[in-house]
Parts: sequence; C-alpha cells; structure tokens
Amino acid sequence: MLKRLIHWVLGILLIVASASCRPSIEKGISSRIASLSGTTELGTVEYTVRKIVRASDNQVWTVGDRKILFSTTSYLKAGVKLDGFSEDNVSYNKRENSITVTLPKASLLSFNMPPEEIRTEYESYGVFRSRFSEAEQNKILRLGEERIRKDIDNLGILNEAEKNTTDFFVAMFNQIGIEKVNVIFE
Amino acid sequence: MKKKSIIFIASCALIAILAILIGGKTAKRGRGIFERTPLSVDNTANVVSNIRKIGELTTGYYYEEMVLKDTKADTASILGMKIHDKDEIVLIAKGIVRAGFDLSKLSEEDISAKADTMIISLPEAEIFDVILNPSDFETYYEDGKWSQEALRPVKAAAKEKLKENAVNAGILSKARESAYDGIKSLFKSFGFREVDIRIEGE
Repeated sequence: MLKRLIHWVLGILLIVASASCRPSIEKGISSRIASLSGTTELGTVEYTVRKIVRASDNQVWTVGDRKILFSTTSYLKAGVKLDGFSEDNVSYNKRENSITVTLPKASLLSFNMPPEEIRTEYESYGVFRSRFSEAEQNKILRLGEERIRKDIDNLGILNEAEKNTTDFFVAMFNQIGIEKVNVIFE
Repeated sequence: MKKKSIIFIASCALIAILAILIGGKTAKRGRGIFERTPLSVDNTANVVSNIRKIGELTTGYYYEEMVLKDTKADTASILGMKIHDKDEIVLIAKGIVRAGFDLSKLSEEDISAKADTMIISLPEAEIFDVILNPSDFETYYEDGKWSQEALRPVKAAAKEKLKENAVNAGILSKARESAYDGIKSLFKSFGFREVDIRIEGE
C-alpha cells in the first residue's frame, strides 16, 4: 500500500516537474513583421507634455492597497497631411498676384512617450499585496497616454500647428514672388 | 457557559466588523464583492513644458513588430535548495520610425522660381522619430518583478535596433523617393510646369 502511494507521489512530482520545465529565455531582440511606406506630412509644431500618472488598486477581498506613481514626458507633433493634395486645393489670381491654398485641418502626426523618460517616482504595497506587475504598470501608463491623446483639443496644439503652417506657406510663396497668400483649413 | 457566550459574542462582533468593512468597500465601488475593479488612473494635469516651431516634411514611414526578451538574476532558495535563479520577461513591441526633411534648415536661396520652373534644394533626409509608446508594448510572458527602470536597457536597445532596421530597410531612400513625388505634385498643383528638386548629398 505504502509502495503504491510512493509511486503515485513520484509520478505526480514527475508530471509537475516536466510541466514546469521550459526552455530558458535568452536575452535578445528579434524582428517579426516590418513594412515601409511613403507619406507626405508637414509637421509644424512640437509640444513637450509632462504628466504624472498615478494609480491605486484596492479590491474588496484584499487587505491593504497598492499605489504607484510615474512621471512621464511626451513629445507631440502636429501639422497637416498633404497626401491627396491636388490643383483643386489651389486657386491663383494672376491679376492680383494672390494665391489661396486649401489644406486639411491640422492633426496629430506623432505621439512619442519615450521609455527612457518614464520614471517610477513612488510605489507602495501592503504586506498582503504583491507589487504591480510589468503588465499592470504598462496598462497604467497606457491609460496615461490615452488621457493625453484625449486632451489634444484642450492643449491648443492643433491651433498652433495651423498658425505655423500658414506662416510656412506665406513665407514660401513670398519667397517666389507671390505677395498675397490666403491659407484655409477645412 | 460564560466562556461560550464570550466566544459567541466575539465571533459575532468579528463578522459584523468584516461585514461593515466589505460593505463599505463595496458601496464605495458600486460593484459586487467579487467583481474586480479595473485599474484606472487619477485625473492629473497635462503640463505643456515646451512649444517648439518645427518644419518637418515626413515622407518615409517604417513599422516593425519585434519580440524583446530579457532576464535578470534573482535567486530564491528553500533549505539550501535553489528554486529560482532568474526573472524573465518577453515583450512584443510595435515600433514606428518617421523620416523626412527638416525644412527649417532651408535658407532663402534654397527656394527659387524661374518662369514656370520651381527649384528647391532640400537638406539630407534624416530620421525624425523612433517611437515605442506604452500602448505599443504587450507583455507576453512575465516571471519575477520588473520595474520600468529595469526594462529601460532592453527598451533602449529595441529603439536602436528599430532605427538600424529602418535604415537597412531603406527608409531614407524611401523618404527621398516620396519627397520627389510629393513635392513635385504639390508644386505642380501651385501652377508650376517643372519642379526641380535637388537633395543634398545626392
């Protein structure tokens, strides 16, 4: 009876050990999918946005809570997308030496929250709680990123981009001899 | 008998305290007891610390998905028997590289028009951004505890690799090619019959 029990225990241990054995992970970076494409975008303004991203986690069944606080820096570039721009977007009046250019409304062209500028400023967790996992930390940072993206209209970056785009086109046409330049965004 | 009553009262008091605590937490959350509250972040200000006028004509775009693997020593043992020797992590990253021409480097002499011909001299094509945002990462496997600081070297190496792969894939020549097409059609739509584009270093 005892012998049988020992066999069973050894068998279960063997199954558990083989299930938990997996090849060790080697450090490295490998590429999977890549694509290259062309575009025509004119970026005219860059905003540097700093944000404190903080979260706390307190569940009903847990004893004690967890808190974490990150400081982040993001670089936002805005401007106009010129793909699909055609002569229909331009009206030149030779007699008045004036030009009217109709451009699409300014939009966010790139959002960059570099990992090297993300800092964990504070972290606390109760005796009965575990630390935030990397997946959880990343989820919190994603939410912070989302908050900045949702706040684009309030940051004034799009208005600034349209103002700078107008300045750019005015300077360029003045350079080639066109005096009156009218830029419309629609 | 007296002892039994004290135990009974103490048990009731303990149950009541737990009920109040759980009830309070549940009422505050407005959710069921075993329903997990999703992670959320507090409302904090987005502080604009700098505004910079730029003139970036982006004409090349590179996208790549990569797998990042990292390990770090972290030993644990029970009764002298090693049960854990390293922490491991596998991340999937989706990165972007943007390239093009910095038009803020143009001087007055770089743009000119003769009759119906436009002449523009562009500086060399360059990489503007190598982007890996938090939303571009997915944690595929995680063993042990990893902080943002611990992952910084592997993420920095991934950015370097992304930039290198973009250059090897020809992002700069793609940027030049798209600039020829994009700028030509842009200036032709302004009424110029010929557009002469000269790129530095070509």
